[in-house]
Amino acid sequence: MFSRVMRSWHVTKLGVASLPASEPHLDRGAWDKIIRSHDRRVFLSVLALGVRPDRARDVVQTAWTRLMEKDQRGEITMDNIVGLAIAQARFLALDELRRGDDRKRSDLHPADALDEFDAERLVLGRERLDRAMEALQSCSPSAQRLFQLLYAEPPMSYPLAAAELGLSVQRVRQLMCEVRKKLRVALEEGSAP
Amino acid sequence: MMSQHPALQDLELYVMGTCEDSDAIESHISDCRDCSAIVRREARLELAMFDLAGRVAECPSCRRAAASDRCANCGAALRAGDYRIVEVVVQNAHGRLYLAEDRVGRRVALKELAFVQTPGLEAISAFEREVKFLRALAHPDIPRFVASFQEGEGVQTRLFLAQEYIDGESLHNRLADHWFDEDEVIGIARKVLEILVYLQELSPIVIHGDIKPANLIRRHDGSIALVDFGAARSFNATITTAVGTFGYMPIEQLAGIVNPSTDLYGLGASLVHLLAREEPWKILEDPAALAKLNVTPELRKFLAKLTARRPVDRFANARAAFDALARLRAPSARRRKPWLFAAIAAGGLATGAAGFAVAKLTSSDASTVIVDDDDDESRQIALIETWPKHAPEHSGDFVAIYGDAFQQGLASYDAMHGVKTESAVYLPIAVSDAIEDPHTGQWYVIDDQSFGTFAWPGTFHSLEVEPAPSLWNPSALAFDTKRRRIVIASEDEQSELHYLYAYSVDTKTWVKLADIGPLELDSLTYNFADDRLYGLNNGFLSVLDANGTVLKHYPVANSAGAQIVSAQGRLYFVTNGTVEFLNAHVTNFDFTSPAPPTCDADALKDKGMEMITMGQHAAALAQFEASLKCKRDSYVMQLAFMEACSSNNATKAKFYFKQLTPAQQNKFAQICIRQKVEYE
Repeated sequence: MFSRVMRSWHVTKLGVASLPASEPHLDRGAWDKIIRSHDRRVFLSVLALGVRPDRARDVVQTAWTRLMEKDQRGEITMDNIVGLAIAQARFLALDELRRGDDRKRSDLHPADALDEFDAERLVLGRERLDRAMEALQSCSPSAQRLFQLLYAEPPMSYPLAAAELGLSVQRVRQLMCEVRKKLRVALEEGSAP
Repeated sequence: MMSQHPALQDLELYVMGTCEDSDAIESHISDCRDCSAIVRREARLELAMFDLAGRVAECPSCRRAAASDRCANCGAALRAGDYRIVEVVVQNAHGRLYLAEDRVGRRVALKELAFVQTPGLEAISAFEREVKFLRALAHPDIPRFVASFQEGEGVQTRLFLAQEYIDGESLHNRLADHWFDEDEVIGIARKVLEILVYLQELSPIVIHGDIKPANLIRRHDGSIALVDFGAARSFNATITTAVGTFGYMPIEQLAGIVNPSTDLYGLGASLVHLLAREEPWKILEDPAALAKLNVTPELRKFLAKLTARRPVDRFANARAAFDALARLRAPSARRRKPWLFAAIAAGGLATGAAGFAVAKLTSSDASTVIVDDDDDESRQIALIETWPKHAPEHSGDFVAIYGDAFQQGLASYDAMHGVKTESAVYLPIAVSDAIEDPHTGQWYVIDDQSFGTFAWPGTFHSLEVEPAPSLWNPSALAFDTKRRRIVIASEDEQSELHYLYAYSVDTKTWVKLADIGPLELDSLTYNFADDRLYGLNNGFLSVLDANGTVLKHYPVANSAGAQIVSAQGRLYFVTNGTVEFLNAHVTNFDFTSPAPPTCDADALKDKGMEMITMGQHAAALAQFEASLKCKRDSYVMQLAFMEACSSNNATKAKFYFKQLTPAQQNKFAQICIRQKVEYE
């Protein structure tokens, strides 16, 4: 079950068998659910740095493993687990870029990557949030509902969201591309050089 | 590797996680700076979308995105005070009624009065009246007051009243797809009159003032709650304005005159509406029109007296009406099934010392008895339980618990040898189930709070001493004759999780048998033939092994107030005054019950789908459940689970989750996860 879930989105091996057998804060089932829900977002946060997909998967895998180890040592709380996972993955990715291991693979200089990953760019400021909200609210009700299903915690898969709304997966993709188009325009307004 | 650049849309779909050939895309972008830059940009947009979704919420009414505590599109609240809004139940120009949850997930009905469209003084008075009365009233079938508070100022002022959420369906809504018969209407009248007796025995008397089908909520267990006290009055209050609903209020109420018969008129008009399926004023403007109701003359006369034009011609108060209703013949006696008449006529009738009649079912060789009380027709059999005395495989003994509005009685019968002598002994506690140890003759009983022994003629001794578990609302008992232990169905303090406990009658020790999740068993029986427990729960018959592991559920029709009974290794379905044999032997039976004639599973399912599109998830769930009672269908079961999640109904979500196949469970669990609803 555990490895099947891992394969379902990018991460192939996690090496959990090597984890110490002390009493974990969360059991494997709970970690299974967390990773299933958030792995894609963590992967995207590394991909956004310009890291190659295969390296990004390795980084994300390592990040989850480290978090699980920390959990088993009782060193983390579960309040913002996705934030911790992103921070851990970002740290590992930037560390690799600094050491030059991945420089050939990334088209960014580490400093540029750091700039690209500026929190302000990923966490919407008030003005950008308002613009994004306006753009979202201009979408059709079903598109707004779809957006919530796919992006609110815990995000649903496309087939499941399609089943929930009684639409085909193809139609769901189409609707989301329209939403993204509006959001892309809204978020790029004012941030153009 | 792709020889050409992939299409922009394919790169976008890759980032969205829904690309069908992600390996080829990844291979390409690893070596292509241009495409890698596009992917990087799209990934940033994707992350921004996650961030956006985390900072907006979905409006519980129109389902659009909303960034603040109130939806900019439809105006519905997303939060109010300490409550998170789950669903808009109803709304009008001056406010809304929400289903909401507090911080620990307790559900309330949250009534909102808004000042944006300047509510009239009467609307404000009605709101304040409801707060005042709900604070003061304490009855299980009247919503409990939880809190009241105000938000905003000036035209932004909003008043809120949080009260106990009654999970059920109004009789008005139920009319849409349900035909009421005389027995059911008499049952409703009895329950509402019990509430009115309570209100009219307070000092000063409380008049509800707006009794109508929309304000009578039928819970899933069949009980009726009376809601909306916005028109309520104290009998001695000076009234200047008529408040109520046209068609359900007597003519003098239009002039502001109310008295104890006012609510009786409202009840009568409501009952007429349920039976006639027409607005009551169309019938009540001509009293002779009551004749067209397809009911017995006794009930017609009762309705005519409730809805008399002149107050002096009505019952003087609720107690008088209740007593008159009790004098009507018991529904079971009126509508007894033909084969039962045949059985009685064939000579299986005996009369006990206290006037109880026992009819032996001769249609099978099982010794099942039907118990009726000839002396007092107001009493109804609330429950029948097996009594496997000495040799269970040959036993035909039963114990019946009688209930009327005031007392409960216990009577025992030996179907093999005739009526026993210990009949009609009234109990000192409100017993809801009883069982006898077949070897020692010791009686064990439960009431709504405890478990203990009972000795004739009425001594109760609690067995809930250390190290006994603290039983919370024990609901049913069964005697496991193989292990000589009593199995008790009970619940936790939040009434959410249910457990089976076992009490060994020989060692006097307790053991917690099993956590049965949402299974609130109204009836439980042990069947020695297959060493299994059988329980009834909200429309389903559950089969459990002797240690309480749930093996299977079967839908059963008309299960409200019913009991499951085992005798001689066979199972019987017992409702008020009737017993149905569940096919041949328990090892080879088919529980499928025929659907009632008015039941259309597909139409109910379609109605549920319609409710989903309107965002009314609780109502959709009710429709799907009704459809399932009609016909078990895997797809509808999925829908019921999804809507239980969407309406934040953890109890139902847990129940339906267990009904899904593992594949369905994997697929649909996320709906509950994202709603933060526990489902397993």
